[in-house]
Amino acid sequence: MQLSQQQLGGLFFLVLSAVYGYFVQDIQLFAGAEFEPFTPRTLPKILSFLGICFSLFIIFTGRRTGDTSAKLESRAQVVLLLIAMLVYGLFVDWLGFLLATIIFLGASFRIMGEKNKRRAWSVAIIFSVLFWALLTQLLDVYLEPGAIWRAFMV
Amino acid sequence: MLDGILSGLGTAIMPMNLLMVLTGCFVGTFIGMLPGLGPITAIALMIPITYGLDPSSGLILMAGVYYGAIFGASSSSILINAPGCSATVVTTFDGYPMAKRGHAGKALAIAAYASFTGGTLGAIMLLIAAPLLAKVSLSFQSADYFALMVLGLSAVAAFAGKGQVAKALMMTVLGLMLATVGTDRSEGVERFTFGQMDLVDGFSFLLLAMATFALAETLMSIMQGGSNEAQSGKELEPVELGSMKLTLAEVKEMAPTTLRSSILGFFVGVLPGAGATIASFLAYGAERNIANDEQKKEFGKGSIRGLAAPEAANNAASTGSFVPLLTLGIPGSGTTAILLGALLSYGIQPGPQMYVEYPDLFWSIIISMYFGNVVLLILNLPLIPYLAKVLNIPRPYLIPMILLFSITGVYLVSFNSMDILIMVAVCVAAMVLRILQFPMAPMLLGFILGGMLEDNLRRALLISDGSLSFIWERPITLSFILITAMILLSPVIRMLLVRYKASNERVAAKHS
Repeated sequence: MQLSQQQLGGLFFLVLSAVYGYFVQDIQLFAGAEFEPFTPRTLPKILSFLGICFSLFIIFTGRRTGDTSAKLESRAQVVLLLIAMLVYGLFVDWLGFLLATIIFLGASFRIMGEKNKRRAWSVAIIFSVLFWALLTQLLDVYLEPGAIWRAFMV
Repeated sequence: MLDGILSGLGTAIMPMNLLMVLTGCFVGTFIGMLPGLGPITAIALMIPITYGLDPSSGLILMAGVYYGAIFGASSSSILINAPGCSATVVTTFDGYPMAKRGHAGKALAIAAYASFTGGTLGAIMLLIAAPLLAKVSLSFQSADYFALMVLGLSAVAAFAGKGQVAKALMMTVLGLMLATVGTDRSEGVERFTFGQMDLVDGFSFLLLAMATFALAETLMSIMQGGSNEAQSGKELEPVELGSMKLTLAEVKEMAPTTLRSSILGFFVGVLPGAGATIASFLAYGAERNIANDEQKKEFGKGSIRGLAAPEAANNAASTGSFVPLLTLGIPGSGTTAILLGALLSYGIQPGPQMYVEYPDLFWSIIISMYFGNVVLLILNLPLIPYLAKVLNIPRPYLIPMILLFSITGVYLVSFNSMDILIMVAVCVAAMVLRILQFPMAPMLLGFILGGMLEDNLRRALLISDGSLSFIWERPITLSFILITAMILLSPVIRMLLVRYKASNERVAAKHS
């Protein structure tokens, strides 16, 4: 049986609600709390039940044909931009805000289709320096130098 | 009340707050003009900046951004047929044809005057309605609040559109589930943290808002690109604006339309979940229905009424949506949900108590809304030809800069690079859900209301000693629950009626 996009979404939420419901039992309760009218488990139990009901409804009423989702283009660009953001997150503490921002912007301009390398990197450097100056000099935000710079300073 | 108004006026006219209105309107217009980025993204991008401001200034800035974004979205609808947000889709119906006929300046002026009237009338009605509703809601108890939140969440889902109700309800539940992650507020036990210290405080509202709206919307705009000139990255032709002056006949034609649509828009905006998009469609439909045959033919070809109606309605509805937020603490839309999140992060609980405890804040927001409308009319309208240049910024440069502002917006608040990685993961999940056509606003609304909903349910159950009788013991609670049931059942009833009608017609056709 082929599932429609809608049913696929429903299936995802069914699994999510079931797993969420399973982990409700892991919530610790104080002694005697089970006799209370409301415990930290009460709302999660209700939500898990509602999630299962709604997801089953989506699965059973989902159209099997004729998905109308928009045609999606430029997936490679989006994936590369997501990777660039991940790399930025991984290295910002190492390289420091300024250098990481220059690399992120320069790479992203190129990913987005800027063919002129010199222009892409010039804009990245100018914009990053201005942004860094705005944060540190005007807004007085303290940006720690990256770990590699600190190593040089010691 | 007069003391409150004067105190609010004093706060609103402080130079810092006037600057915030001005900045908000400009920044909002700038972001709103970018196709695909709506007011929610514009406000989300502002949140980190507002953390350094006092509550009044921060909220005034965000309210200015909200108006500016809708104004900017209208401008891109008129100039390039690319609505910046869903509330201005209807504006393209008559705005763009008018611009194509060489009257872009006139179309922008009509939109600006209609928006100004809608915003002004909306602010006046808010001035009257908000205190009245705040006084009524002072008598609300936990059970009433719980029922009201259930009503608000259901209404947002019910207005999600045909075939989307179950998905929107599912997304609301997802938002509520996400709100339960972290330390339980009453007993202090950890829930769904899996021993991770990063999850002990729960998910950050800012991170979630940025990842699901600012980041995901920007990346989705790349994937859906190429549908129009602005999105394809080509340089746009310089827009020939023409005159912005309106003749007396044109003013006379748009005046009654603007008045009617403003009132309609405000009341639609007050309803939880309805918002500016539905208001603009309803106003357009209503104007078309009451127009005579000759005027009807003009609709879709550059009708003044067709342009003024949605513009007045969407601005009045934006103002109206502040009524439930400020008086009941219940946001009626994704945009006001973000504003609620911002208020909560300031340690302010919106609702009737806000009217009593922070009258200067309450009134300064309302008064600054009016200032925002004046700024848009006096300053932004003449600057439109220059602001329109934003549409010519090459996308290879614009998109990475928006992405940078989004991720640094979160990073510069927490200085935790782990947040960037979580943000990317949440963004990917949000994009997949968007592709599967699951709406995001109900999720954010559920997330923001989750804590309050649980607190009120807990109190209601403790008061009634665990009995569900609190649902029908008080007329207000029962009314809210019945309205919720009606809202949720109406699509099912409508579907059954359509099927019944269709089967009747088939039987009739067989017999004949």
